[in-house]
Amino acid sequence: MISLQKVRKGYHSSEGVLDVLKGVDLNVQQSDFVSLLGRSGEGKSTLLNILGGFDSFNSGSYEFNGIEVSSLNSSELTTFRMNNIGFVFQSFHLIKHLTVLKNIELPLLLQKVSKTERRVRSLAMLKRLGLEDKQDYYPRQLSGGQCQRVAIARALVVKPSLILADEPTGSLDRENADSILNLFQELNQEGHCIVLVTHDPLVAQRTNRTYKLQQGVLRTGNV
Amino acid sequence: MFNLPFVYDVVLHVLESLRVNALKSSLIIVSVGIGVMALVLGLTFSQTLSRSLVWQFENLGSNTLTVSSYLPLSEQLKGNKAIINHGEYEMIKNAVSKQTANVTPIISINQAVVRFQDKSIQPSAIGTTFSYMKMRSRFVEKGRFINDADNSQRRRSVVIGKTVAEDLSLGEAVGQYITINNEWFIVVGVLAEKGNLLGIDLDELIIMPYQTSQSLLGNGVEQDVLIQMNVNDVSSVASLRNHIVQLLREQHNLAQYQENDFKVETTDELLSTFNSVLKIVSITLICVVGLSLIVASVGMTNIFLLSINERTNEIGLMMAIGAGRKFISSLFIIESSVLTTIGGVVGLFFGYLLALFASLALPEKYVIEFPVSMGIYTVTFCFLLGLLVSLLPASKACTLSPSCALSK
Repeated sequence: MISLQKVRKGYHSSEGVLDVLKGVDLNVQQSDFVSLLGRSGEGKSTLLNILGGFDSFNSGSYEFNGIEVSSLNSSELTTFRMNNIGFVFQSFHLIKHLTVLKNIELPLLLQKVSKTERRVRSLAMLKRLGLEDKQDYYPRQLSGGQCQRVAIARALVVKPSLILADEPTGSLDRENADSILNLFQELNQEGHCIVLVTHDPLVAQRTNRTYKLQQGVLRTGNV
Repeated sequence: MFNLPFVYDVVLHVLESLRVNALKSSLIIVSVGIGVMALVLGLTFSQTLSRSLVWQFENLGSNTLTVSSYLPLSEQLKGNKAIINHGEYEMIKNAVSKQTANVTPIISINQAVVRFQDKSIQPSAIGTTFSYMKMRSRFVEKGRFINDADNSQRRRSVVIGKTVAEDLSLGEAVGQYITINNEWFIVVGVLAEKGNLLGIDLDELIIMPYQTSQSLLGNGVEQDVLIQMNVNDVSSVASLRNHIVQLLREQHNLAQYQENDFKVETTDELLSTFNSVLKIVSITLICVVGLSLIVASVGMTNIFLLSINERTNEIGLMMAIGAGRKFISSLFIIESSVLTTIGGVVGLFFGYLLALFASLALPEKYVIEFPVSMGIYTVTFCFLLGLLVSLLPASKACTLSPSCALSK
């Protein structure tokens, strides 16, 4: 599904060009649950931004279901993200003035889905994640684990081909982190493709495959 | 292409965020509202004045000609004086008698001191004839108007306005004796109320027969007579006017190159003089309010820019889940124009309400007028102001990089 070949990315700095990704190759299949493990500053976020279509790269190729992502313009990239990728962030990024239900409905609103269908799909997703009694709560009324579940529901509601999770357990305690990871495993078993970025080897262990990112080079990793 | 339910949903989404930021929203509404309220009050005021001017002159139809002396200020400063005297009045009256009706002479009596018992006032006083009543629609409420017999016999009879009757505590005014410049007069009638015009009390007035006023003022000084007349046939107004101009120029021995030292005007021209003053007032007002709205809009732009900083995360998220630049900028544009439009409507409402309250203090005939078109213009202007104000913040929001926005 995802095929990265020799992706290079460098930034200009006062000391010349700083290579962050030095020819990364990555293949992810439809049913994969992959983790990208690395310490901070090793290029994890850059790689994730490229996978999410936020960032461009200097050379190489990135194909997503046969489409060369680097050839898309800004509005095509927006549509690409909207239809293919569900994001889960470390700090949840829920909109605080919207209720849980409205937060989940938001991506569907952008897809111009009708109000009734939005409601039905969002409620179904809440039920799937065990949050059906929280639909009218605001994010501030939820625990961290619950917020992350809402964020996952928001990512899943558009039925994306790929879930990109950026340190999804980084803000959670062990118990909540466990439960989120269990959820990811369940989702993967249901057929969702997940790419998870983390600095924590214990988290990476829970995935099916781990890649280690060190100084801009990606290697198949043994945790 | 245009998806109405989608637009509706987006507007609802925007309203939700406006509700959450109630303080910011209400501050913007208040700042626009106050500006618009000031505008509405001012414009209503000048409109009402303009209307009442028309009402004052309502019986001076388009067939009315007014002849008055006139000198430019520069000539007046040189000490020159221009008048139309009684002889010229008689001459004009005779010359136009066939084509006109109600030829009315009006002399103002400056500094007339009016006394009754121990009370003394200085109202406006004029000397005129019976036709003045019709010409200016100053009808009497009690008693009678001065008539031709009063005039020809130089009777000491006067008609007074309500304010005069009240100020002098005349009680049942008709039949009372008052003095004007130490001469005795009998009150024969009280005028129906007219109210205020541009701060002048139209009921603070004394009307005496034309010839009586001449004798009262003495023959030593030539009196300046203002003449008004109704032209029988409207189409001949222009030719009659030329005729009068010709007569007066000859009478005043004006050479070819000299300007007229008098004016012959139709009612429309008279009105237009007043209206042009009102227009200046209105334009000044619009400019001042416009300026204050510009100041407010700079403030609003600033508020929106700040709010983008606060909402960077939200914007980043929206971009991540599929909001394009157009969508992001439209959120801010809708937000700002909704607020300014609401501000405009609120301002209109309260401005009109205040104007209505103010009108309670005015006589009945002063009807508050605020044309619908003016309301539409104002609200449209506010809407456009909202668009303008949001352009910079919107363009800033939609050019944020999603990865940077999310990492803040």
